[in-house]
Amino acid sequence: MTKGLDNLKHVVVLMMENRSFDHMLGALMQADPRINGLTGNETNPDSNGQPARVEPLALYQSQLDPDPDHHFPGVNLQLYGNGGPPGVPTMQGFVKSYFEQRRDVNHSHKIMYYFPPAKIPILTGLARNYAVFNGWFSSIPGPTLCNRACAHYGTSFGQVGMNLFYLNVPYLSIYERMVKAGRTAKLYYFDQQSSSLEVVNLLKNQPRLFGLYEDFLADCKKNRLPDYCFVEPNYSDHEDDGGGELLASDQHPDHHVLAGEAFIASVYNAIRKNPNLWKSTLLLVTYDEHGGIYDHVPPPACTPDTPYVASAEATGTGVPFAFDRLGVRVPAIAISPWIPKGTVIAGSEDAANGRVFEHASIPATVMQAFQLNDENRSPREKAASTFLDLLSDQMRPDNDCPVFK
Amino acid sequence: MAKSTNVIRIPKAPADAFNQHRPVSDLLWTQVEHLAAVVRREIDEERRAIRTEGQASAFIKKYTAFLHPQGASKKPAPSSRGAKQTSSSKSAKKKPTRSSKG
Repeated sequence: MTKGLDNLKHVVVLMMENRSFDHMLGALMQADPRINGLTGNETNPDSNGQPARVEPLALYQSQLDPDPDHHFPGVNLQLYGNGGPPGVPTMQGFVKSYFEQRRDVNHSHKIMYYFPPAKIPILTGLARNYAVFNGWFSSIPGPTLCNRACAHYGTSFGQVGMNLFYLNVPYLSIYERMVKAGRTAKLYYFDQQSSSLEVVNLLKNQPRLFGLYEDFLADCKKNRLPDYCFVEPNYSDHEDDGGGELLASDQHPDHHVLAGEAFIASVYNAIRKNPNLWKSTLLLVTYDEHGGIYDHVPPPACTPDTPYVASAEATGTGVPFAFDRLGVRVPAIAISPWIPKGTVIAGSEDAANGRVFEHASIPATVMQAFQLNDENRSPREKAASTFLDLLSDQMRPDNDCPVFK
Repeated sequence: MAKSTNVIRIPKAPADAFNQHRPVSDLLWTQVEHLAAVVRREIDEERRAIRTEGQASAFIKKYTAFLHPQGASKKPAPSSRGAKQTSSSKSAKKKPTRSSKG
């Protein structure tokens, strides 16, 4: 056991919304060739058959309107172009998919745009200062809720869409497993106007597991943070009780990306400012899915989530889905003073040593961190890679770890 | 937190980023639908559990207050017998006096 692991007392996950790896972090490859990002030569054919190239022209807001399709059939088109599974995704259908929504060829090229690192200094700063995963994929080539379910339960219980009403499901959420084992766990949602995306199942049945973001901040300050917690950003522009304007901080298009940057910084600072917490916490910042935005890495095959199979009708593609391949790659960064600066966890670009992660890696890692032994878990979670090995023996000096001001 | 030499400035979103008139996304719409479903189910469970007049009046009060919050903020009218009564109080065990208005 490393000293970093020996010191580990808390795992915190912040899950943002709807941005692909290449869109947010792809440009980092220019500074660090170990990061599997963009060369600048990647293209997708547009609806006229002309190549649409990746460009560092992503805007914070008002560019991805309408919201790019990220439901199962749309993602299928993005992955395979005009083909379809089986086979390795070509990643050649993103522009075609976006064209379908507005029938505007020039506008469809914007799905290929990415951020220069200086435009999003918080996320890229974390990626360069801690550990960035080259191979973290959304769990399902579909929308938000089935993907978030994999972070909470290690499975979506056979769902590929947004209507997740779980009745008599065989696995407990990671929070319930923690509590059952005498540990503490919580989901912090931003406020009551934003609420949680887990309203139908966990909030309805397990309200004691929930807190507000202001509780998270207070718990960080007062050394009351649970062993495991999951933080949800603000999902809507709305006014607070005093009439103040609160910007959505989830980075879901068309919400302002910088509001999300500030939120990520706020979560990080809340942990970073408490020395007891800082040395004993592993923070993971990731995104639920790619939101229909281009990424160049084909999602790999994975352990099927037996016995679940989504029917041809449920997928909307005419083809059933056995949960045997992953969704599009998303940003994921592991943060701790025990992680060496500039760590890059190789993905599929490294055939010998590359590792694949997905959202089921979250409950799998939490189980490992707190030495829980519950065999009643999904096949996907049991097979998922974990990331506690990133914690080293050496705690970095305080002045080496960034602060956000 | 000690002084770090590694300081990154937090960028700020402009004031005009705020837009409550943006059309609702699929995500928020789903959240609305799910909350509505949960609340419907909750009301139905409450409704089906009602066995007594007291339970019925509690249910009626809760949802009348939801529909007419101004009414909920007003004090109830004094009891016809003037004293505070509960179903378990001694006075409640006496034969109740029916209201002349039924």
